[in-house]
Amino acid sequence: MFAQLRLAWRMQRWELGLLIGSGLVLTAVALALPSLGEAGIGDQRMIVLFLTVAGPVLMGSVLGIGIVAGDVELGTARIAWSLTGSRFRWIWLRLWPIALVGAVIGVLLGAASARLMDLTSPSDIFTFQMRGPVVGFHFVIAVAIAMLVGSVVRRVLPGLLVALAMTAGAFVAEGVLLQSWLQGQVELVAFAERTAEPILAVLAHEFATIAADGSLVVSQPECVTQAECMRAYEAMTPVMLVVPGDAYWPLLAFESALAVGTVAVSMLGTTAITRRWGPR
Amino acid sequence: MTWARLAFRLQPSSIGFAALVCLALAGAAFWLTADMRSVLEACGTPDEAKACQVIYAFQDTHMNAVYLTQTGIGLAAYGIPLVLGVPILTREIEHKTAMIAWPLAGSRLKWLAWRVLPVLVVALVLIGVMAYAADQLAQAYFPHNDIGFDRHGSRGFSLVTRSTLMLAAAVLLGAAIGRLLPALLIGIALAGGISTAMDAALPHWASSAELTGLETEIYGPGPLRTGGQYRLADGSLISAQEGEILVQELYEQNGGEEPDPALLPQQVMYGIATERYGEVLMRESAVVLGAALLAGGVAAVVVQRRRPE
Repeated sequence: MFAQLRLAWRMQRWELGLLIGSGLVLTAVALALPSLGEAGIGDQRMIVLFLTVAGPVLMGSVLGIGIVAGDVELGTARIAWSLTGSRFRWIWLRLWPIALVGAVIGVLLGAASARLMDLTSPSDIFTFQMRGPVVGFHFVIAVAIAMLVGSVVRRVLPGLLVALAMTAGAFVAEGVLLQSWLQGQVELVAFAERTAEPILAVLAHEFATIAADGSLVVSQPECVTQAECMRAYEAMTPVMLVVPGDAYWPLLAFESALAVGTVAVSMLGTTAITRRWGPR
Repeated sequence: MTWARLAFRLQPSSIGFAALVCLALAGAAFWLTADMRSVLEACGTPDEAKACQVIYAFQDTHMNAVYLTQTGIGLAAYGIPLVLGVPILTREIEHKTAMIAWPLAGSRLKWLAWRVLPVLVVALVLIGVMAYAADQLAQAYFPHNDIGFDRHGSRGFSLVTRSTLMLAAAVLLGAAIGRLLPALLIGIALAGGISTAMDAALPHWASSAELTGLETEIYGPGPLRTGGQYRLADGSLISAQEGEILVQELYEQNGGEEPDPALLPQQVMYGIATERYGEVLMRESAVVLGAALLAGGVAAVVVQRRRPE
């Protein structure tokens, strides 16, 4: 195990060094921001959260593209693949140390960003993609996609550009799909009755009336003048459309299944392509 | 055309990607510009659109598309030079061709010039088209105003100079690091640094002064606003926060009704006036192009001294 980690370090020390360095710095910043009080909950928070989403995609693609495309472009694939015997084994030996290091860094960063976000109320439907183990899963998915793309494109820079576009596109598509699923989980909560129970996302703020059975119904006031509308709104109950915290676990299971599935498809696809096309 | 063909043969994917991105973004910007200007053709007729009257003429209809295109252009201004500049040297060093090419060339400087200049010309043409399109788009979005400092850095000449600096920095990074992927990663961080530094330096290229007339509005295109204060009736100045508290107190004393305007403090805006945009642009461009030359010079020194492996 350590021999393979050492091999990964020797082959991609710059990239792994930047991954570990930038990941730890970002984690430290995410941990330090809350102690800055108001100053830490502005642009700095947004930058950290943006990098928590974009970082795994970028670093995963950079590391993943080197696995096959890097070897082919530099001509080392001819020797390395012949010596290993099994193409599948070689690809696995190159993949897992990178995935492990990135997943560990991603989980650390995800934990730090979750702590940072818990300071403010969740406000965005994509919140779960910026926190917890999902950050690590996204890194692994990005590595797997880049490796597969590299086996087809076979050149580092074009492969990287294609892999970045594909991974970003895949995550956007995933977000859109999950958004519609989350819409189905929505519960109506009166603003005044909000408890400390965890909420996955707040989708909207609305006004509601109380129906005959006591339930809340989102509605628009019937008014013409501004004064009438003000009075109508005062008579209504401010509510939030929230996705309850319980929905996090199915999402996490989905993300982990997606990561495992992507790695499996990528491993099989890369093995088949490299066997067929050889090391050139 | 020989140099262009040579540049393309050496970096087909980088140049192809740059051309695709720049021309697609420029195309989107030109299309949006034409679309917004076509709406204004009906101005003065009974069927004139709301856009003919208001400052934010296209906020309701075109804002998202314009914002997306401008964001894309802002990112491409740094991303394209990075993709074009970093591989020039890293590819030669990683593929070990520098070990043959540099001794054969005789002068490494001459070799570097032959490799960099065609890419620079291609980059300037593509980025120039994109910058012009972005400039037209920004002007079309605010058709009734001089846009002044609005979207500075992601349109027009300022975009071209910043991209040139990024290209020189990318070549330098490639020469110093000698490996493609690490140089790209460090280049992305450097691009963030350059962009932030340029934005932070912008208010310092000219002295800030009290804005007058329509430029005192808090929002909108035109001047570069650097801060605000309130002026009391006796002419003394207080901070924006103190002024807002005072206004609130005056309203409360007056039972929520508007107080006597003579008692209300007047808002004072500071910044650089729209008419000084050309002056600021000239100063910034001189410094940015100087920095680009410096980065190019350092890259030449690195190429002269480094081992070709």
